[in-house]
Amino acid sequence: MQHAEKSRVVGPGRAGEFLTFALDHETFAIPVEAVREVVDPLPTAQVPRAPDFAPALVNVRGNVVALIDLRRRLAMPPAPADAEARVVVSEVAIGGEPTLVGIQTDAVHGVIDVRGAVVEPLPKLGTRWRTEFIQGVVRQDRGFVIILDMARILAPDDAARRSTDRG
Amino acid sequence: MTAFDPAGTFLLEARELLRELEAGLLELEQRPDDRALVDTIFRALHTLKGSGGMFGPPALATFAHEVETRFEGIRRGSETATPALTGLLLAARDHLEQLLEAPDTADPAETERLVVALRDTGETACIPAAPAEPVATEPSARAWRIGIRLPATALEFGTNPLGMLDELRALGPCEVRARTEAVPALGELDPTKLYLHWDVRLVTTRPRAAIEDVFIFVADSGGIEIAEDTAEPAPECASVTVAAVGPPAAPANHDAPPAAAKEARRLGRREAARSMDRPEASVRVAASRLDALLDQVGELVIAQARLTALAQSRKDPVLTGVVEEIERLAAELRESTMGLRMLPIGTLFGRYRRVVRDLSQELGKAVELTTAGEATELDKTMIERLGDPLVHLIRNAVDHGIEDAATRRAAGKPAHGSLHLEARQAGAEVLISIKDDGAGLNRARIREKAVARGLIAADAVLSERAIDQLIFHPGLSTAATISNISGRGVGMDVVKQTIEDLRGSIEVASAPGAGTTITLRLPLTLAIIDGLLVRVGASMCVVPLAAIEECVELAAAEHKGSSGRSFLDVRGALVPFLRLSELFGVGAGAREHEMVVIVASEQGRVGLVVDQVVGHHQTVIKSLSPLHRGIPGLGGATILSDGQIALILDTTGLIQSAQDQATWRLSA
Repeated sequence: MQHAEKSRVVGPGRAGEFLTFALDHETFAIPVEAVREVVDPLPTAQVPRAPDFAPALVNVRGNVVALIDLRRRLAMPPAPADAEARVVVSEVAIGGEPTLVGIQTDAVHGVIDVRGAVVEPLPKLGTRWRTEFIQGVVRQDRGFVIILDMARILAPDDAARRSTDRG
Repeated sequence: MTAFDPAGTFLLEARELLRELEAGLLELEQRPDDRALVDTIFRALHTLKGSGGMFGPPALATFAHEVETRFEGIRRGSETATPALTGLLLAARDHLEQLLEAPDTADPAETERLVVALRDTGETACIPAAPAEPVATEPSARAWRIGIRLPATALEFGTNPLGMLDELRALGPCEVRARTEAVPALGELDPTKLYLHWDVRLVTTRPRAAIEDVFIFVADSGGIEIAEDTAEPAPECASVTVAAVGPPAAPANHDAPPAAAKEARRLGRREAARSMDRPEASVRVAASRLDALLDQVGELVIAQARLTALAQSRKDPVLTGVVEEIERLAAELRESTMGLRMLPIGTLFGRYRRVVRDLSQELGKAVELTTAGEATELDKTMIERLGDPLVHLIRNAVDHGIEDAATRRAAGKPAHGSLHLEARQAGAEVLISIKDDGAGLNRARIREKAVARGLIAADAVLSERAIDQLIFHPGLSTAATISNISGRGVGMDVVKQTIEDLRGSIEVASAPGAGTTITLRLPLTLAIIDGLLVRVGASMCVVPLAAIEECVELAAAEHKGSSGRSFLDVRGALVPFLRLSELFGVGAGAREHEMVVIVASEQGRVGLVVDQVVGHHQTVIKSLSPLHRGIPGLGGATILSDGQIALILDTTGLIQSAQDQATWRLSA
């Protein structure tokens, strides 16, 4: 069974169900079909010379998983310690290779169904994020939900460039 | 569940058969009279032809038939396996490989040329139409009783009983009687089922194996009974009455006269002897499944270590007993799982006979390859990745190491060179050595070249060992002429890189005029590492034990003055050192009782300063995600018994990158 899950291609998928979470007072979403589980913050092992958005490793049920700090990627201030904080364990195709990652979030809200909703492109102006990281924006009763493109955010070219920039 | 993929299975099988064929033909070149070998080769060819006809490209089966026909001559003894003939057969084998792997690129003219060569035996090469006329040298005809009881579903699996009967007829005159007892009434008859059985009495000069070959594709061979007929071989097939064929073969043996019983026993023994030659029954499993199994077992071992720690804190004797039991089982399970991935290195050595044979012909140097330790087992992945580096080392040895016959005679050596390939296990390592009796490394020339390329200073003082290591430097090749065999000086550095990626090392020993020995030291497996667990700040690291030379305490005097220099005085020798805490960015903590782990590197001994040496640790390696894979100095990660993650250091990469960053200097 595990095998079948590993080989599943995780991409943008159909506009269907998304898991929403908070980062710096914004609501973000990733496809729920890629999400394995949501766990409480785990003890981390720092990785020297790692890209700043993947600074550490965590042990998720015996798997060594890279911990992703999206705040770094989205130009946000470091997260304050918060009892609401959760790690979303999700599968992302990094350079075509299905990889399990743990995404640090301030809080996990729940699952939304955006079928039938209008997914709008991110306006070019007025955003502080790199547009290629964002798949689109959906209007919800609580405000906007920003759908992330995790594969692009963790793309190896960027990862490689980041790490050499630092070295 | 994996879907049944006959074409894929055929491809895997055919590759194996081609390997068998190659190994067999090379052996045959040495021992042309080995009948058992001839039979083995024939069987491989026959199977290839048969299954190729069903699943392979049509040209493959047709060509395989031509090869088989020619080989039939050797098998019958009418032709001997001369070197020229085995050469032709080897070329034909290569062509078969091309027809299998890339049928579209195969040159029809080449097929034609080979077919003409194969058919040119100086006589008509087809199988004699009447094998009943025995050649004088052949054994006299014997009679066999063959009972064919195929399962009712045989037709569904593509078995063709008529084809079998035709093949039996081709072996000699035979009497076939169909048994119709099992045929049901028409109303109940299922046209896809097989209800018929056959009893066959066959008179043939051919051995039992030839009859067995007819049934080579019968999945359940239990339904086939082959026994020698106790009655005198009938001179004429027609005179055998149907009644004589009647009783099934097996009972006939029971009331056989003593002489025949003895014969049956003799046959039985031969069968037993042969089955010992055959490899054990095996199951083909996708490598990815083995990897997944090993992963899961690794996780089990980690979970079990946590359980052990928990049980120790509870001090419950019953719990402790169970936990110890689980600990033992988990260790055994890990051992057997690792064993599943181990393959004898002989599978690799077989390939090199061909390489050496072709090379020695191409270069006009007579070279004899001897091998030892084929049964030495090594991790499957390792064997796969060693293939090319070893080819390169062998080519180098034949091309550069071994001199031509004239030079060798002048040096008082035998005209033909010898190359010895050996594998053996030493502790947790496997040593593979390639030894030639050639001229040895020309150190003066290597040095000259290295100076010319600016790799070393003209007045540098280098030990012989250091000079020998220069052959692994990228871009250094000492071949007087660039040949298409040893390449253009790219290669030895790649060989070294590959071996190091496998966490192994490479050693050179050379004596001028007497030859060179290159030894590869490799860990038994890639999945488990023996290391020293150390603490740096809050981080845990595993330093591979293979790289460690010793551990010393960092003397107080040392770290006080360490701001300006980073050398350590170890028994009079200056050893540069590197603070892992700086690498980890944990800053200067309480610098008391710091330890230095001294590791061997290309640049000599280097010390790694750590906060604490925790102890020896054997662990399952977890590979890093693409996000962290490229970080120099990191080889992987592992999970400790308390669930904490430790990083596995790659000391070579670590020292290299530290040197690149010039954050510290090495002694001259």
